[in-house]
Amino acid sequence: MTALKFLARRVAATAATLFAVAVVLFAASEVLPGDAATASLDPDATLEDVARERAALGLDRPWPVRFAEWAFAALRLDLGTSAVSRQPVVEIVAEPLGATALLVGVTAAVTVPLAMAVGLISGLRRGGRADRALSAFSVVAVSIPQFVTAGLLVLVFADLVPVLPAISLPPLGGTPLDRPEVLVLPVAALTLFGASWAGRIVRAAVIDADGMPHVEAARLAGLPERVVVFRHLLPAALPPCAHTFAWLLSGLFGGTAVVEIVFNYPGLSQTLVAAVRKHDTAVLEGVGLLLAAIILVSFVLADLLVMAVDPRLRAAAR
Amino acid sequence: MAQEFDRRSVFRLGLLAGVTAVGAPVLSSCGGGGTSTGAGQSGGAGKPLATLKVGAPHQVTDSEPGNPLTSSIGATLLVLRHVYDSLMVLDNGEYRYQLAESVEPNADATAWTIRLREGVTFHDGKPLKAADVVHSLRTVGSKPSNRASVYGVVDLANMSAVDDRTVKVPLLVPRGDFKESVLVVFSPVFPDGLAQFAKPIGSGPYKMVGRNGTTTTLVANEQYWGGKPTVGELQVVGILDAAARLSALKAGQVDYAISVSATGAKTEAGSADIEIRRGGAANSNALSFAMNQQLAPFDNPKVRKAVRLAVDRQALVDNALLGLGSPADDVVGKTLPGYADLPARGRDLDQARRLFAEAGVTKLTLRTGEIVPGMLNASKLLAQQLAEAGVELTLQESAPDAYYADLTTLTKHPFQAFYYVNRPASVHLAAVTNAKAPFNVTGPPAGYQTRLAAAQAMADDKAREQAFRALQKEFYDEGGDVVWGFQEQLDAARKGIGGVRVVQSVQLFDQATGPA
Repeated sequence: MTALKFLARRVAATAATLFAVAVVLFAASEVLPGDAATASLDPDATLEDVARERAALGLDRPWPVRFAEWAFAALRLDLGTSAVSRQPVVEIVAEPLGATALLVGVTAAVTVPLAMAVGLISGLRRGGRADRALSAFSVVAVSIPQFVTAGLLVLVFADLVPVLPAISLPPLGGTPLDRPEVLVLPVAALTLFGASWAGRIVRAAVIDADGMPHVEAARLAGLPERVVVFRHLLPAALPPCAHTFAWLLSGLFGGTAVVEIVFNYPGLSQTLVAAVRKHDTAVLEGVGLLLAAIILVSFVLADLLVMAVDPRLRAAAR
Repeated sequence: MAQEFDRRSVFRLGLLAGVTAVGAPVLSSCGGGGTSTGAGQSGGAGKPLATLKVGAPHQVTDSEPGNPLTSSIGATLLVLRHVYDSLMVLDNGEYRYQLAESVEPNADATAWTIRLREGVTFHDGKPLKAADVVHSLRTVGSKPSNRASVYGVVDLANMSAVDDRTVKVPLLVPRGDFKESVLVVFSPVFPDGLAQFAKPIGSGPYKMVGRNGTTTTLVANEQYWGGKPTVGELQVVGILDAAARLSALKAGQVDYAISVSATGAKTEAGSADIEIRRGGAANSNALSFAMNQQLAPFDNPKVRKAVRLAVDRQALVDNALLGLGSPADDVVGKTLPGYADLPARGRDLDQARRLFAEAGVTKLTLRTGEIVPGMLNASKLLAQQLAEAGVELTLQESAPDAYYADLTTLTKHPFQAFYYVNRPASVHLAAVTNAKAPFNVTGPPAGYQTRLAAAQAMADDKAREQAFRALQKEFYDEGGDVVWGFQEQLDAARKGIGGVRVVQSVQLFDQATGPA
């Protein structure tokens, strides 16, 4: 019951946030100079052609009217049609969403355990040789811009030692999963950053938890270190970690543009960037809302996870 | 990188559109490549290829390849040109009939008669008929086709099939340049009634068999009327980023990369496995600093002349384009049909200084942005060159994505960096310098507009060509463009790939061959 109430509140908040995001995206698209009519202008067009195109796309009406129209259609799950390619937004977004979900899924499957391991090792042996080496590596990996990391990976593994494909080209009639090697470099580029960044935060959480009285008490009681770590320390370190990974996941969904461009991976970020450039408001709203929804849902999930492991929060929610 | 891609796409439309072509049909390359081949001729010294993979620019939001209503650039355009034939093309420096056998005007060029080639069949086995042409032109000539404006002068409703091989095309105004300004620009033909292009049907050398993610697969049309293609299967792989296209080529994932960066081309110049193919001026962008004659201080012809004389074109090409281009002489259309062979424009600092002094100009402002790679560097260099002529140039920088978005801004700025696709002069002047054109940034006077309209209406080919030469001369002497360089299309290919033709800035692979 309490979890339900919590969920209901969160769902309402999520809906309100999505609405706000929709308004902001629409307004932002309006503020940018030009519109879909000028963005896809034919060099042989005349100014009258531009005006006609604008009228045909309905862009000559005030934006609140167009927004209301779009919003009511969106409520009926009709996200409209691209002003550029004239395809339904749902069709345009479906393929990149699948591709991104795969990329993010594989990256998360590698990154989360790796970050936990890195964080635990360096947190428990802070100041030790392993900690210093891992910390130094993490700081470097986090500070190098992603396009450099990705470019270096291509240079080394596709050019100098050609063992992996330079771009993520799935086989004809298949998906990247049919040729998993195309995922290796994009996942590696994302993981290098993700695991280093999340590892630093896990390390801090582990250090904090390590100093807690109940962990100290468990140690003094003579429990084996394994039990201390997994039964007492980790649950205490989990809340900050869960939120870190929620951040990481949602960041990955919207923030893989650089990696997508370097490896020609046809994901959501590319779609978003192209929609902004072409003033394709319907596609922009579609992708933007999808990303916002993913981010909001992953935080709700993180909260639920934290509630599940932390008895105090369960009590507070009551 | 990707930043310039988009805006260029708009202008590349012009390419597609048309009409650019081809001084040297195989991009004059570093030694390699086959010989020039027209459809049906032999493909050079190499061997036929079972499969060829081509990496071409493509964005996820681009339309499905093969749809003639939303063709844009790169991969979509490449597929379009292999699947469909056009009524006319600009090939190897001249206007050629493809599906048309003849195109003749009436006495005052208000109605044109298109006679069709015999013995052409579509991929579905049906023969080409006049009704197909009527349907095709109506479809690409009206919305939602993104090339509808090309057909602005055509009376589409009253177009008709006279018999199976004859189409009558009435115009709304007399146009002697109907062939080069309309048919050559964009006239793909598909069967009557075809309105869904998910499964495109054309009469071209390739049939589209499928699409997977960003890869489109085409197979040879063995019955092609222009000769059997030498490449059995053509895979067109859409790759957004120029650097990624080059990486894919180096890693062997594609055999040919369309459009690589100048830096990439320089880096790979010494490569043992890859060769860079330069498009020459025929396949290039014409880069300009455009002065608007309607606005001060460029309403004074002395100021325009002074700027033209102060510019060191070779230095701009060498530095801003890394030498991968050639100097231009203020008029678009060099090496293409109808060019007036205007004299090369030299630098004359003394005269420029004197003219600026006479006009009382000591300061200018240039609106600029990285609208094509190298434009910002060119603008900075221009500032140095003008400083040598005693004028201080301030650069007002805009983001490339927003550069063309606001059409009013474009017409209000006296001096701005600009670029055009290098097209035949008559097509360029007609499309871009007319009073209604959104990209008319040089503001030619009313008299010029009258002469331009008169030239377009001339039915006699010789007289019209003369009139357009005179307009080019007028633009050269009095106009507002400082077209300073041609930025060549740069491709990269696996060594030994030959027989690739470039027709209207689109690479055609139907006669391509591999290493012998």
